[in-house]
Amino acid sequence: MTVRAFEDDPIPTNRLIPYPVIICAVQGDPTAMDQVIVHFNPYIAYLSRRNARDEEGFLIMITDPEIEARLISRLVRAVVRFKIITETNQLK
Amino acid sequence: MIPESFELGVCYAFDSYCKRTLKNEAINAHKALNRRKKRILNFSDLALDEEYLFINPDPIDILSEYRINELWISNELLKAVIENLPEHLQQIINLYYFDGLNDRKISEITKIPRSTIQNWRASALEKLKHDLEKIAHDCPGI
Repeated sequence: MTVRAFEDDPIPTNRLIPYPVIICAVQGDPTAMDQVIVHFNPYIAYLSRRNARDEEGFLIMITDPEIEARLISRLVRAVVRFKIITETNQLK
Repeated sequence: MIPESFELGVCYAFDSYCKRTLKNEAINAHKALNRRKKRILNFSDLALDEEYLFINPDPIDILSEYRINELWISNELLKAVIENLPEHLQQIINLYYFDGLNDRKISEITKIPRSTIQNWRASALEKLKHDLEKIAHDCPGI
């Protein structure tokens, strides 16, 4: 099995949430949770698009606020359930 | 000390975990939306301005009529027909279509078995349909 050498990669800070923020968010810190939600906001907006007709009858994509709210609440529930497995955890 | 590669691994795992969860939930949400659209439109799903049409007290207002299955059904008529139902069916209709609860929640509130709620709702809809068709047949002008 080849292990990916993370050290060699340039750290893609622009598209990953930093580690301390993840730790805080998993423990339920509201500011960190906000940061996570803001980070995933564009993706949530992309996923909650649906077809609709505008006044002239053209098919357009709009973001559905209902789906958006549902996705955000699901994200918060998922983040709290995320488990970080360290070596000490694995032994238990 | 935790090595940096471990932290980065957690970051990647967290990222893909969140994306996967969001994607799955979005699929569920879109499926639920389409399923609901195909079959039924709840009063609680209407936008605020649409809902306003139903509580409009002016009977002459043409906007208070909704076209359902080629029949013009006015606000007053629907109200009268619903009030014509037995009381237990009325309660189910109100809870399900106007408050947006599902069968299980209604059964928790009313302490009636869920399958009974389902049966009652089906029979209430059947009665409503029958009554409305009868009225439309008798006087098509309404």
